[in-house]
Amino acid sequence: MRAYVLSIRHSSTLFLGILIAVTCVSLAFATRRDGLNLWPDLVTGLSQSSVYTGVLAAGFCAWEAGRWVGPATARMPGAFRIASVARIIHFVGVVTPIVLGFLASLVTLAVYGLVTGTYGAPSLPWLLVLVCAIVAASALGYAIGVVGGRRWYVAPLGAVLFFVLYVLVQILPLPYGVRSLYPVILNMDSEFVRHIETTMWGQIAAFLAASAALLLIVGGGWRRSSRKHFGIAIVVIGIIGIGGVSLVQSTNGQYVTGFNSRDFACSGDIPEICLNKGYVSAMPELARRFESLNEKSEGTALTATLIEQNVEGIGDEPSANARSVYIEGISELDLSFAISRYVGKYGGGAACNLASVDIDQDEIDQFFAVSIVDTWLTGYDAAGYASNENSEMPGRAQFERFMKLTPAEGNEWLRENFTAYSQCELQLTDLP
Amino acid sequence: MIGSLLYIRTRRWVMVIVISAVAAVMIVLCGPMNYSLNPVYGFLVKVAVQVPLLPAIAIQASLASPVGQQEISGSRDLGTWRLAHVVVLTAIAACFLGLAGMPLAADVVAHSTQGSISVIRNLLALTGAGLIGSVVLGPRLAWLFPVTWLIVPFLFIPRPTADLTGVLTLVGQDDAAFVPFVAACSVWVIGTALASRNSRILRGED
Repeated sequence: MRAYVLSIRHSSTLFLGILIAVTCVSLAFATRRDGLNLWPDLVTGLSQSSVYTGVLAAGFCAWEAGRWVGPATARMPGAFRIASVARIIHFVGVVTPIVLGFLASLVTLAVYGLVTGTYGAPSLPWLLVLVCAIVAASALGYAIGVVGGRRWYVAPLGAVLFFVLYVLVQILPLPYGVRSLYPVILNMDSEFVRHIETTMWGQIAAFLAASAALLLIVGGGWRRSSRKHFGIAIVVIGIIGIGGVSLVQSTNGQYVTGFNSRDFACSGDIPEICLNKGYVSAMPELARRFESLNEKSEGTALTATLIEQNVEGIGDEPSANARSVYIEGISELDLSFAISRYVGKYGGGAACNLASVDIDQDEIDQFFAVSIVDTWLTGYDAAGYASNENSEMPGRAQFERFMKLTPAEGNEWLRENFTAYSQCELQLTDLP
Repeated sequence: MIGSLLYIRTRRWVMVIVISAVAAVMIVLCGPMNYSLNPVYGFLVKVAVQVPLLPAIAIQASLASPVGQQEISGSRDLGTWRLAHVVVLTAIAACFLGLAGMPLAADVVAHSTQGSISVIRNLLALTGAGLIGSVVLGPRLAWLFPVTWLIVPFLFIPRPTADLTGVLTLVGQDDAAFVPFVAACSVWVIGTALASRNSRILRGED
């Protein structure tokens, strides 16, 4: 216990703990989306910070391990059955402030969440994975420090090596399950998903086992005096590690799957819009845009009556008589894009298929004709007429004319041509 | 002459030059400095412009002396030597990296936006940040400054184009970005000046 306390007191990682706390809180706030106050956004920031906190932890721990030498420390391994235990106690002392720094950031975010009414809740295993990732990064740095000693390059080597390995993991064509075994958590949390906790528990086991194995090996536990106990410890750690890796591989390193939470708040008459409670701040602007769409599409099958937020992104299942709208954010552009996706799904765009290899001119004309109508309906220029003013895109003249139509004029035209529009049989010459 | 040789030997010049050469090879291995020609969807271009971190940290760390305490108590002022140390090693690293980052003919045709200028600019900025770090935190934690500059801005600024001045995401900016280049030169000059006048950076291994 005394050795542990001394390790903390003599460690420079107290400074690192504060730095990690500040970094995690800052990045959690920085990654919030404008107008939204969701726990998943905060957790995404925490996850992204693992690149930086891992590099810091590896560098600092390499330095701490390297400078832990002297006559007193040289005698310590002899006091334990496994010589590595002395190193492990020192490592725990070094890593404690780092973990406390991370926990301090969590407490800060929790208080912020309570005060501001942040929607949702963080996943506990996910947070544990983040802690274990920092511990694993620290253990890697510490091992480098033990081997390198007080040499001038040890601390930067620990930091840079961790970063270089991260880059390699990103570049190499590795299976996703293998990538998930590197202690940088870059998978985005998402607000309406069911966490695959198997992956997380697997990562926790794998990270902790790897850390313990590294420390046992570099701490000199394999020496003759402690070989028996070292062997037992390595076997136990090996079983835990293999179990963790197997769990991660069994899920291919995936964290999440689609899940419709349906924690809706509904508003309006026609259309009635139901959004997840975390997104209710988007309600007024979204309602205005759907009212505009309904005015333009009145009398056609495109008119929206009951809208439910597509809260899983892919494979949504809105309730009977409802249609879904997918919202990525609540900025002007995001909502404009959300309406565009709605029209793309329930309008003529769904019938247009340009994926075929044998596309003829008629099909291209049909695609642009439907795009022009969609742009008029939603205000979202998916085909890019406005951003390519000087290019000779098909149907530019029709686009210019169509955008000048009033809602009543356009609606009259749409009702007459809705069948051709919805089946993607509209030609550019059909446009007014 | 003996003094110069002793200085060079205690400052691991050979090691730093080798690291610079290795960094240059890494840039070459990353493939053409052009997004349309580079493999892995241009991801390796982003990696290549980060490579100057290695020689930058090596140059900064090499300033620390294995006999720092004796040098501090010695009568000879080593400020000019440290200045020369940084200038010469930065120039050597810049030559290596600049050559490695030079766009090939095919890149020029495909309008490369990042090449030798980006790489050398990043070397100057990260070296300067490291030198400032060695004055503020001491030589063994000085890597914190360049590493922070390299990683943190990209975690909350989605794209280099979203950075108004381009200084925060300097590492990812194009060759033509003027303000980041000025910022890089300024940071290097400040770092070099501070490092040459501050004897704290000598205490690397004491």
